[in-house]
Amino acid sequence: MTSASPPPIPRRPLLRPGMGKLAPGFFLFLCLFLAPVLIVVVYSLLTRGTYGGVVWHLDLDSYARVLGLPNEDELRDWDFVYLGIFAKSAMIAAATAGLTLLMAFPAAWYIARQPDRRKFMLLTLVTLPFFVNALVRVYAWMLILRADGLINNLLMASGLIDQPLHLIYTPGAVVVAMVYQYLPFMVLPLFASLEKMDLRLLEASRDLGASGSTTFRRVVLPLAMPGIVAGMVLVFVPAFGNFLAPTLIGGAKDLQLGPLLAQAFLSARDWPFGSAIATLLSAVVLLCLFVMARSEGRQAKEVV
Amino acid sequence: MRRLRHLAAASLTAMAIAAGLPSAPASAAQELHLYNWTIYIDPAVVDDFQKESGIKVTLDNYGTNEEMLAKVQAGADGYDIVFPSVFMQDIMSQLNLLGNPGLKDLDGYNNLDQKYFIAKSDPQHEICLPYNWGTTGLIYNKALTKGQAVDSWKVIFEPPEALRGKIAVLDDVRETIGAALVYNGFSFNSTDPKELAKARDTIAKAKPYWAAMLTDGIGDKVINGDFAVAQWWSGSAAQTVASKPDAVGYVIPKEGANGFQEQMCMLAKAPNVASAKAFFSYMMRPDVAAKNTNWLHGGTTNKAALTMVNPALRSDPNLYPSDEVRQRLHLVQDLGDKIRLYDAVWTKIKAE
Amino acid sequence: MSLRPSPLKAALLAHLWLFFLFLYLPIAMLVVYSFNDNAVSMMTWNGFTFDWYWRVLANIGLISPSSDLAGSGNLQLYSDPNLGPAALNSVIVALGSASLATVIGTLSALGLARCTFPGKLTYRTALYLPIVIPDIVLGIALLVFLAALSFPLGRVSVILAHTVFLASYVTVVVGARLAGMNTALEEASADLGASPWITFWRVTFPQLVPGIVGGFLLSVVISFDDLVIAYFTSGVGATTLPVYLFGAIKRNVSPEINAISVLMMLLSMVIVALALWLRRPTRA
Repeated sequence: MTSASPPPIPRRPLLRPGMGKLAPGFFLFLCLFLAPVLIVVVYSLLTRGTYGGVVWHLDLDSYARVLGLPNEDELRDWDFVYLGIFAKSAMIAAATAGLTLLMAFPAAWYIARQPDRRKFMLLTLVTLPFFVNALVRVYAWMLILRADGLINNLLMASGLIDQPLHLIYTPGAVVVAMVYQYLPFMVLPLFASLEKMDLRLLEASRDLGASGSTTFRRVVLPLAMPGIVAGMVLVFVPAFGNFLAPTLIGGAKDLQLGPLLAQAFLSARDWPFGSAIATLLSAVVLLCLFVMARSEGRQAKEVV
Repeated sequence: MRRLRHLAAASLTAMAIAAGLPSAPASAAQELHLYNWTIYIDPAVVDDFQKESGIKVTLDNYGTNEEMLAKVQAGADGYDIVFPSVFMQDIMSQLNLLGNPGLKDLDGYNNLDQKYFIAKSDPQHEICLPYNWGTTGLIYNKALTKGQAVDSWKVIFEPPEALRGKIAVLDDVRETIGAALVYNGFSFNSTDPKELAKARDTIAKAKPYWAAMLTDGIGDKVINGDFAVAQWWSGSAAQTVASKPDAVGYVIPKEGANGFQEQMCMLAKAPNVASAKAFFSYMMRPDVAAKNTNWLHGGTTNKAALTMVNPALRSDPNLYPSDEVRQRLHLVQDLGDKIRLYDAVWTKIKAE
Repeated sequence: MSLRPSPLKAALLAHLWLFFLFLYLPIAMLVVYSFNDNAVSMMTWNGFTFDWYWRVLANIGLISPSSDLAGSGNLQLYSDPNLGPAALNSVIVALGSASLATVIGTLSALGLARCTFPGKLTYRTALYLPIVIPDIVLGIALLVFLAALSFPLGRVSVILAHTVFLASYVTVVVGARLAGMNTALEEASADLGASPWITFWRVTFPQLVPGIVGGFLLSVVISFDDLVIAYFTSGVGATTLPVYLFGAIKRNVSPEINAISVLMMLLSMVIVALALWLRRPTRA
């Protein structure tokens, strides 16, 4: 009955063989991504220099301004204009994500049901336009939506209207341009989810007497959810901070986050303020990524 | 197969390294690095300079004064010459970003018309060369504006029924707010909060009737009818009018307008000072100045060049306004810290 | 294979056609109108011409500017000799940053696949950040960072900036390939007494090559197409093609832009098609 003490659990060393491979990537990430982002966060807490740059003097006023709080010294009253810009950008980004989802889902479903070779070819065709320069793609949509553009020309030629429609320089135009830009970001994750789906579950549901729409609601949607969430995040986040579409095709009448950020750094030369906006934007991005990671994790656990 | 892959990897890495290497040492051939607005210097003028002097010239572009300032401040070393607007020259002088090429001692200095030396920070007229001037007025589609008065800012800020929804305004803080200030009878550079508030209200009332606020590709949209009237710069407008004179026209509004002027300045950190000075002398030659002005459809600051400027341009009162009209032109001045008042107004306008 | 009723299948097919129409209409339009012989009113069809392409090629320097093909009418206004250097810069930046990113990204993918350590999931998710973060935030952050360090802006700064997010793309692509790989061969090789180094070069790497090359080509295209980050981090002599195009569009929309766009498009598509063809599912 000698009580042998349990063998000591070997402590696994933190640095294991093979981790050297991660070093270059890690340093790149640290020096050229993390450090710049952290500097921006730090700058957001400082005071602006008259002609750009910052003065090393702690000042939370930038955040106060974004949130709409008044400031006696700056002769500023309650003003929620910036929160309004955040909200508007979020709405347009959400509309973009929603519309993209509606367009991509049936297409992804169809492609997932094809034989391998055709699947691959179709995916290639879907992804190809993505690699055309974003500027060029927005420009192409400008050519379509102008007063003398394709749509108006067709409608007028067929006699349906006699005055050109005002399509360009509207929020709708911005949404369309962004949907076009981010469509592959929605199709690919959806496809990945739908491809993995076990069709037998659908058959079983049908055999048990469920209607098509019930099957869709209670079997397909939950199984496709990780793909849907991933797609929505991958579209919403870049759309939220998009700079090109609002600037070129949105008419710049209504300010969105991307142009506001550029404006703060360039024409307003208010680096701390711009940094505050960038920091808040990044916080939203992190939040969305977190949601996406959680959803994937949860799905992985549910699959038994 | 493996050897091929090794070779590929090696050559790619070599290319990556080569890309980072600085260009050929200056001792080999002389160089000059220009940083200018997009399409704002006659390529032939640059080419001729290269041929004559043997100096290799590179040209990078920027879209706004602020962009150029941000880049120069952030460390875009290597540029020799930049082209700031007058107020930007004042700002850059304050920030000690400009170098002194000693204009007075260079050939051709006497060709310049002294009345164009207006930068507050350069009373001795020796730091920057006045490059080009123009006005910000209205370009209009003749057919769509038939019977309407287009020689006033009223067409922008209180548009008649027929033109609503077909108006474009510049997406520029100073230009647009300045126009509203001038329309209300105030100074283009006003920093009075009450006057700015009035300007803001004027713009807010008019904005629903505007199609867009932009600085790009305005010309062809006025021609094709997307816009009936647009606020634009005289040089660009003149180029468009020249291409279709019976369809479009340009006018300076009677209440007054921005009379802008760009300068050619050498940076304090310019690496090729001798080349820069040579370029300054070159640009002060009357034949060169005239050639450039004709291409820009702009205003020359070189009195010796006036005779060589295209007579069609010279006689256009909207491009070379009379002294009486000149009185009503304002120059954008640096506002220092007060620019924040404008930013607040601007964001308010854009966000509503 | 599918038990869907016919009307649903027909609807799906119809949707797919409309979907591809939506995707390719703008592209088709650009191509068609790049041949429009109308300098002033771009959307009014005036006739077929190769003029714009000749002008672009002349500006890049591939054909002589004085040749008959390139000169037509008062188009001197729109020609800009900066097109050539900008195109060259784009190529150099793309190749440089793609090379660096491929090496770094592949190493990261290997490290992530083969090791476990605390915080691995967090690190893996963090590596997605450079891809997902809006490019304007990254561009501005890099500008601020480089300014704070007094690092000169030029071609190198753009290459470094691009490498940051391209490495993440490569990590994802190669990682996916690694995940799908059969480790049996590697185990067999180890069982036969081969050292880890030899196992890697003789067994793992050959299977990985399509993924690596695919990642490289993907990086080239993405770098070539980037506007915003290059806009903020470029310096002397480093103007890339998209930055140049952005400025040109802002000044005066010239039909040459259509031709440039189409040529860029062709280049991108050829490279991507090549990359995807290399990654196609094979019987292995």
